[in-house]
Amino acid sequence: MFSKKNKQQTRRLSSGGLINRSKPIGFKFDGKPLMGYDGDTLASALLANNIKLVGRSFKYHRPRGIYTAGTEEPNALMALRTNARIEPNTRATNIELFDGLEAKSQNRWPNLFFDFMQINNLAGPLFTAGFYYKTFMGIPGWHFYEHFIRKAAGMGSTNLARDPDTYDKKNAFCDILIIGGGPTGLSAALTAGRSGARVLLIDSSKLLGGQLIWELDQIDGRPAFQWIESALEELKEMKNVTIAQRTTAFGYYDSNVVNAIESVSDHLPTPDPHSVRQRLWQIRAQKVIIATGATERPLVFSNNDRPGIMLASAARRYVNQFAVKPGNRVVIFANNDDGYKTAVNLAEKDIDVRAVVDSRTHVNQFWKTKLDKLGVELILGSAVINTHGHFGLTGIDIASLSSDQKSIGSQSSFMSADLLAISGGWSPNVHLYCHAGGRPQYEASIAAFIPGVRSQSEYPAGASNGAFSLIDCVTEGTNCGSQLATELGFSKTIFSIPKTDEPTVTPIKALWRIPGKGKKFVDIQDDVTESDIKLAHQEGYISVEHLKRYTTLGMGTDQGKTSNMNGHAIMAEERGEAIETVGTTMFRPPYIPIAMGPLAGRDIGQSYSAKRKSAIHNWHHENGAIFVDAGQWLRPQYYLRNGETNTTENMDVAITREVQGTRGNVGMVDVSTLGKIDIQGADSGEFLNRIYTNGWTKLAIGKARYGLMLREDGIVFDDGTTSRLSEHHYFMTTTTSNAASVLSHMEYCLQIHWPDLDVKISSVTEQWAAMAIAGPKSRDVLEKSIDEKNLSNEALPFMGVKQISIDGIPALIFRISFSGELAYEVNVPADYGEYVWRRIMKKGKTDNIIPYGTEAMAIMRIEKGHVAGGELDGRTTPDDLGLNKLISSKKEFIGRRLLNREGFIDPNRPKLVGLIPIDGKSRIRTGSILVKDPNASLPMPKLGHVSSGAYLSPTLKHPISLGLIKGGTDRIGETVWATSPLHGETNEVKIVDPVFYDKQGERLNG
Amino acid sequence: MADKTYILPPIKRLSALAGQIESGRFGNIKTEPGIFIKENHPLSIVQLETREPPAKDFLTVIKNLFEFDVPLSPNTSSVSDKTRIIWTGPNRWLIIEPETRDLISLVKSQINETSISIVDLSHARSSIEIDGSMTRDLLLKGAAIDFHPEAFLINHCVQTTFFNLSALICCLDENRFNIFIARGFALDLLQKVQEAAEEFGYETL
Repeated sequence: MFSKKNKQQTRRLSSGGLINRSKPIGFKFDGKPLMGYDGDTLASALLANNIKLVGRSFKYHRPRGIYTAGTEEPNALMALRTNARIEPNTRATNIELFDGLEAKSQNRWPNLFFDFMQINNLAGPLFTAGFYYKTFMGIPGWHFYEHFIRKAAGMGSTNLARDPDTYDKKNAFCDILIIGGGPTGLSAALTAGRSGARVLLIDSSKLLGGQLIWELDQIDGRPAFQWIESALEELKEMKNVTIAQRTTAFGYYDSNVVNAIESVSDHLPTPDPHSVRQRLWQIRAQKVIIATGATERPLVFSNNDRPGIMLASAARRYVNQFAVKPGNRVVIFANNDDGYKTAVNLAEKDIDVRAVVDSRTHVNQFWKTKLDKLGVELILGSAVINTHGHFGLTGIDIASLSSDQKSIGSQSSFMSADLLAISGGWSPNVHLYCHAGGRPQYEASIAAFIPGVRSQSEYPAGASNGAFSLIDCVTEGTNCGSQLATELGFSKTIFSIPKTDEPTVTPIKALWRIPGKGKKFVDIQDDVTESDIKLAHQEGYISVEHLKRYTTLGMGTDQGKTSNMNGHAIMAEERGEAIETVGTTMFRPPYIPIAMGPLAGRDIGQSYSAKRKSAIHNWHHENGAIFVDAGQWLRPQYYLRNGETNTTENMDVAITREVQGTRGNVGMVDVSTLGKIDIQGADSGEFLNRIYTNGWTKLAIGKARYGLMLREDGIVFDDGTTSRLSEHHYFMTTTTSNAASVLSHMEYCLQIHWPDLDVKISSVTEQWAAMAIAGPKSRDVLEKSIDEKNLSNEALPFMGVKQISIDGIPALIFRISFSGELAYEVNVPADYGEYVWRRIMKKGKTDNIIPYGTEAMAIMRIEKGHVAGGELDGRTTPDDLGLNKLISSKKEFIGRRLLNREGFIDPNRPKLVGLIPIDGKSRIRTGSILVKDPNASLPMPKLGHVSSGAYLSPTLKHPISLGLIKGGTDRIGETVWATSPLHGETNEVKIVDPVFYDKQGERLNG
Repeated sequence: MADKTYILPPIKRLSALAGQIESGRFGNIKTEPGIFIKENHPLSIVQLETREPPAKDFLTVIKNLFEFDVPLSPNTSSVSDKTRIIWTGPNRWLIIEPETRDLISLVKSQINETSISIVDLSHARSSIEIDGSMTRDLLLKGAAIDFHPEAFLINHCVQTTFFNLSALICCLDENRFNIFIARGFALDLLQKVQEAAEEFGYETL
């Protein structure tokens, strides 16, 4: 994408590295075109181009450089890509370089070199721990200041445009999950795999091998990478072993569930067609081997954050894996042997390593001899006490360190350097162990917390278990893989532990901070200094949990990977207590920052919720239906005719047309969404008697009955009709929204309360397409449509049920009415639904049949005062809704015992009434509060609320509503006010009977 | 009113997926299709439920009707050339076969015991069949069930959430599965399966 001309990668070594020099890659950093190679990370490519300054710090806006070479990177956070694909806060050390990559530095304005907010660094003393709480939070106007403070102290920002990429999810199962493909993980995979166990090995990198990829170690007398190659070759031959690369475990949850993110396409400019950017894995394993390695710690001294200061192992990695020279004049500062490894490694690559500064007074002869031979000065018993430079390191000050490490010598010496490689020891990556529920324990011999007692089936091994040497890693991995496979019943395998060539180790001497003045950064990402920890201690925040919240130590994108150990140890020193007493904070998921995309997966936009369609959906769609969500169902709300656009005015026209068409002639509505439950068994009648409030034992075969169901606390649960099809066979309908919960309730009752009843229930909602045909001409239309031709009152009386056929299709017909009109509900097997609907529409054409939607249906039921979802809102009793006539006094039923409790018989309970606006035209919003006087002083006494509303009754020519009000129908004739303060609406309404239309029910007979 | 005899109507059944499955190759076309998708329709599906563990008479009736035994182990199925019977719960089974006869009437005619419920679910479920080398990988995208060939054997079945929808998944062959879904969700499921299959490349039949 960009020019392939080599832009002088001045820090690139002439040979070596796991990069492909025949594949140059062009990329941009802050708009500047640069070159790298295939195999680079963004960080290594920047270093190759001698770019040291990559960001500004969180709070003080201090210049910062690349500090690590891995996941723990606290400084080099970049906004990657552009426009809708922009991703802030990505770690340059983890970004595989790809052609056309565009990265931008963050938290600076106007640019990296001239950052206006670096003024914060001068005002540093102001921004101590607890800055927010002590200043702005206490004085008025926080919401005003907050905007500026957040902008000044922060990280990247995202783009609100929709991400054009897709994200995926998958589940995985295995006997043994091995997290980490380093020497420990590979060794474990070999022994576990050979046993026949199903092994899943995941590793966050493109290349397996962990640290061995870039170390110069030998195994069995061969370079380590050869051992990796042969291990991988063997593993890939095993059908029972799956290897997932670029996959990072980020959380360990209950029941050995481990979540991981697979970076499917993060190494590409854009995902391949039909591929995804990232995939979320949810892994269920019987045993989990945690082989996640360890993280090197920095040392805490004055100005330890300048660009040019990095972890010693990172310097080694840049040289060996990426053939990048991270500095021309190098000094190593360490309190353990790892610094020597770096010094020798770099010097052998002809890099000018000037000195190793070791806070210890002794080191073994092996390293002394090596340094001597390479001409590297060894300065024992000393420390780096300060650094110089601004946008890059120029030199360091070194002084002797007292034996108790509490003071430094009065004399210091300056040494010129542009790279200071530091090593304060290694901390096992105990994150996943903590997620699993484990509590790490302090191990003084390695100055670090290591896993303790196991909580689930997690088995930390190798460096993540505190075993840092290569031989220990290989041994623990091998044994762990074998042991777990055996425990799971797989065959024992014969194996031998390979040999390594490591020198003996001189023990680390813990050094948590170096005496001296100036800013000594502990958490380099969150700009938490030693003095912040001291201040927290002074102010009483001495628990590590309080320390974290007060200072932000261990927060941010790196979650304290490089800072927690030092910070907690400094707090222990301040408290004068042992580190094990002070303890550590617990790591929580996620181990690395996770984008929202893979968590959402494909469940976004239209796919956020499933769409359920009735068997007649296509007809509705073809005939102008505007759909509305009813739970997951899509239901026609109203139908527009040719030429009508979907405006409010046309909606009114359509709804009026549908109501008048139905009341005047005949209308048909799709009621397939109603819940339908098949009930069979000798005790079905008794069962209905117990779950409904009214009596069921005398229901005749071929008859339907309206039923009311209560919850155990007496609140109305659901209503519907149930029909008796034969001696022991019933057919129940429920409301659309309660279909699943009613079935579940019934199943619960049968399994828990009354297992003695011979009743079997089954949802048949989807088996039947259902349509209600209503209006004075409904009988005429149906008689033309069905095979039997006779639906007279005698053949099918009100509340009668019949099995019929329509063009040979079996059907159930119910003479029931929700609209108040002469009406029938026809149920046919769903695959015939559309055919039957079309047939009825065709046969009814001469009768001017009209389809109607949920709006017209709702208006007609309100006109009739029928209750529905607005009234069955989980707060109402049968008495509230005027349904006491359905309460049998002759039997027990669910909810009966609590119907007479004090709160339910309170005469002041709101009860169902009708409401009409005094002016005859104002729309009364559903949910409005009913009050006596809208101008009364607050708190205004509430009389009730509006539960359902029709802003226009085409039948009555004015708005109507149902509501619940104290006093109920006793207040008929009174006026009150319906007020919706949220919308600024207040209307005077008259209380009327809840049945607005055809109070005698004469229209039911046509 | 006695239950009326069910006679197969002359009218053709209309699937929930009618007109929704376009035949052809889709998704990744760089490799051979990893997934083949088709709908099984029309099916006869009858649910049987006994009150107690099935009596000998019941087992005999089933054996006489279908020439194999009803499966008694949870989440398994028995199968002949034509018919599959799936265990879907304690004392509950689904009998499934391509609709070539009046299955519900046939079953009702043989079982007169009132304590056994017989429910026609032929129209209540849609069936999407997926086949191909990547079938088990696709299933893992939608359900937290171990579909490894050694864990999920041929004729095993499971009722679970599949792409957030309640589904009955049945293994027909090494890499061939049938997914039964409530009819109203059929199109939604088909779209989800197609999306998930894109990276493998798929062919609809």
